[in-house]
Amino acid sequence: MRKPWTSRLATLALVAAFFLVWQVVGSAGVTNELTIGTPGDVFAWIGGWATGRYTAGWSDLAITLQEAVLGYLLGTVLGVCLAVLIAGFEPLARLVMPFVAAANAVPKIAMAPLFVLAFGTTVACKAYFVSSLVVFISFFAVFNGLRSIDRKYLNHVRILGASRMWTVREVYVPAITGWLVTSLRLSWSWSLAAAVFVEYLSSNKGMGHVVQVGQESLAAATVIGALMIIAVVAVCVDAGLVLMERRAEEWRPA
Amino acid sequence: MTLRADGRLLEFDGVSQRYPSPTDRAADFVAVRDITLQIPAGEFVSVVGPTGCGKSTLLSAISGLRPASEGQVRIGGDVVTGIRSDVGFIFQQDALLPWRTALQNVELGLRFRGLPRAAARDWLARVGLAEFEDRYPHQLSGGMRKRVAVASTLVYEPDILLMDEPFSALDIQTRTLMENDLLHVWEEAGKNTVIFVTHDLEEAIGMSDRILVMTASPGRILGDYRVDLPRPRDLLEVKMTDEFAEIYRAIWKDLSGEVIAANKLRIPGAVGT
Amino acid sequence: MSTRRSRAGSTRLFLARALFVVVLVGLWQLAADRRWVNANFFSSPTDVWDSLGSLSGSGELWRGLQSTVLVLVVGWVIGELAGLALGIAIGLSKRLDDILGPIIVFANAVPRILLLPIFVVWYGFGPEPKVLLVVTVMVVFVALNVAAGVRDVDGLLVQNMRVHGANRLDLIRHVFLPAVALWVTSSARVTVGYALQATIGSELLGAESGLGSLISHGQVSFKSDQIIAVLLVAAVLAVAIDLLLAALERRAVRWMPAT
Repeated sequence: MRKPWTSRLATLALVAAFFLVWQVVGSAGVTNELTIGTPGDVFAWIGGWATGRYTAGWSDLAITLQEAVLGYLLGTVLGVCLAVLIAGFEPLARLVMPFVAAANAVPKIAMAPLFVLAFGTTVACKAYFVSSLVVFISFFAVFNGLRSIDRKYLNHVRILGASRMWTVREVYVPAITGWLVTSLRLSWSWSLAAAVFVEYLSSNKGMGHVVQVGQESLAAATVIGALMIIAVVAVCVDAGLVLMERRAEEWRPA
Repeated sequence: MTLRADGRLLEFDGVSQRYPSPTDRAADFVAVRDITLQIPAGEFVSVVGPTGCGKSTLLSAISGLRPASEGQVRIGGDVVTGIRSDVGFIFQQDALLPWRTALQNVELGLRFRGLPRAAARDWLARVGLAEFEDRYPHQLSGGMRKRVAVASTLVYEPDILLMDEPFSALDIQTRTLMENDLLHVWEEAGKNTVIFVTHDLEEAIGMSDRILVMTASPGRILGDYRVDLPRPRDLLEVKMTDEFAEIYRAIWKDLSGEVIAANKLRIPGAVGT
Repeated sequence: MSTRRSRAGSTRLFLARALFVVVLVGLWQLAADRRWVNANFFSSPTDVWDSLGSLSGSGELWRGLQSTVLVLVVGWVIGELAGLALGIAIGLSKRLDDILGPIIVFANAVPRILLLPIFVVWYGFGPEPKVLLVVTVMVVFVALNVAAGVRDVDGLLVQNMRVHGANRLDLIRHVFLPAVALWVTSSARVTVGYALQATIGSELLGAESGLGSLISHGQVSFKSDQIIAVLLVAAVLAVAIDLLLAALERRAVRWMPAT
């Protein structure tokens, strides 16, 4: 079903109105407590950022992405391995699952200072922190995927004559892949947020550092501008992941 | 009736299937009890009986998904102890892998055995789905999915084909069409031994050479009927004949008593009680 | 007999788990004493225990816990209510969904926890920016799911109610609200988890009270024992809330068939 063009127009109008009100209120200086900058300032800052006028510019973004991607990969690999190990060995699952669930309930973002203390302001520190969040997401995705495999598919391929290896390849791997792909978007959104978050806490590089410096000098345009760049990157990658998910999940009923 | 010359005999020798209760043996659930029978190669046998009489248990015992707990099931003299490569099984529910296309699903059994996959395309065409090779199961209708399931089983030429109410989820028109087409491809494939579990007596008579009637739980063989209608058959025509009606009446007499027993009903003055 | 056997089994499982914890803590202490591991990261069980004692003795821990729970509860309630209102609205109106949908999907992809610095610039270091952050993190998630839940309501149910003479308001009250209430109960454990994450994250980024600020103090003074001690308290808080909600959920959905 196609959307009526009036709705698209209304969406655009709403966004435009938002920026307009922001511009008017921001430049009127209603209160000095309410430092919200103006869209003009923010876009001017973003322009300056892109040409490297105020900060290290693109290299900050590159570092943040590097941390997020490294942490993401590390966490996913670790999560998959642990899930296969624990789900494949029932007594182990019964022994440790309550502890895994409890660990998952810990607000993991609060572990950031621990990583900062241990690993300093390195890229590795951020990657480790990111992976500590991602590992839970991928672990539960794969663990639940393995646990929820329908017996009828296993019976079916066994009757068709599948050996153990074939069963893994034809049933277990596709089932895990489906769940992993579904968890990919969640993992990614946490990866980026976690990388910026820990940069903000302690760092001398990266987008989180830019935000932190901006906040210290009460420069609303810097803070908002940097966050906007991160948001745009997050949304673009997310859109890419959605496309990938569609391709990988073609077999799944809509 | 011509049987496959090279085929092997399927034998049940005092077979019982017991599902152990966790507490004590007296409370074990006995699904089927003391079944002894012989099925020559190439015979199309239907098993009918009230719900829960252990029809599906028989199939599990033949396929090796759950070998018999007492007695022996033998195929050509070999005792069934595990999954066998010469048995095919079409389940009641859809069991096609949802992440594989129709063609890939038909290829599975060939790939597992390391056989060339060329036959898959041919079999998909034989069940009338040549144009649907690249569709995923969710993009096919229920009837088409059953056709893929039939092709994916017959493609590796199992000696024995087990079917557990394969068409019960289909609407009545699709079902008649499927039954006719199944008979056709079965005859074309050179007649595997078929054990066909169904609730539907008309379906059973129309398709089979022989019908086994089972008792209410725990299941035993109550009646063993021959159906000597000529092949090849057209199901719509067969159902109009007098022979058909005669066999139907005879079997229904056995069956209705068991259905009433299974439902624990007491109907005053009812026929067959 | 079966009950006795299964009770024996569960006792054994409990003992195995207890042993697992003892072994783990023992290994941790041993590794810390022998300096096998990075002390800045792992500290040691005895140090953490001492830190817990001094934090609770000085009352800092309890004040922090109080502040965290307050922000969590206020933020969760407001976020849930706002999300419900928005979700029901876009779930019922195709037009509203067409207009607001793209904006909400965009907002969902933005890592919203990063908005805290902006809120702090606006409101300073009081509880307001923290509550606002919790609400922001929650509202999009709740709205998207509630809208999906409303759209998922069985059309047959709605038709049946219509045939019985229900108007739009009756439908909302008797069909959509119960369906949504079910979602709220069953998702409470997830949403509270998000809210706790946002609360502690915001305290960490800049606050004068709460568990997060205690962790932040631990970082500044290089005391990993304090960080781990507060993390443990946060974990206990999280698990306690989770158990409470699980018990409430069981009561609330008793009418549902067990799956």
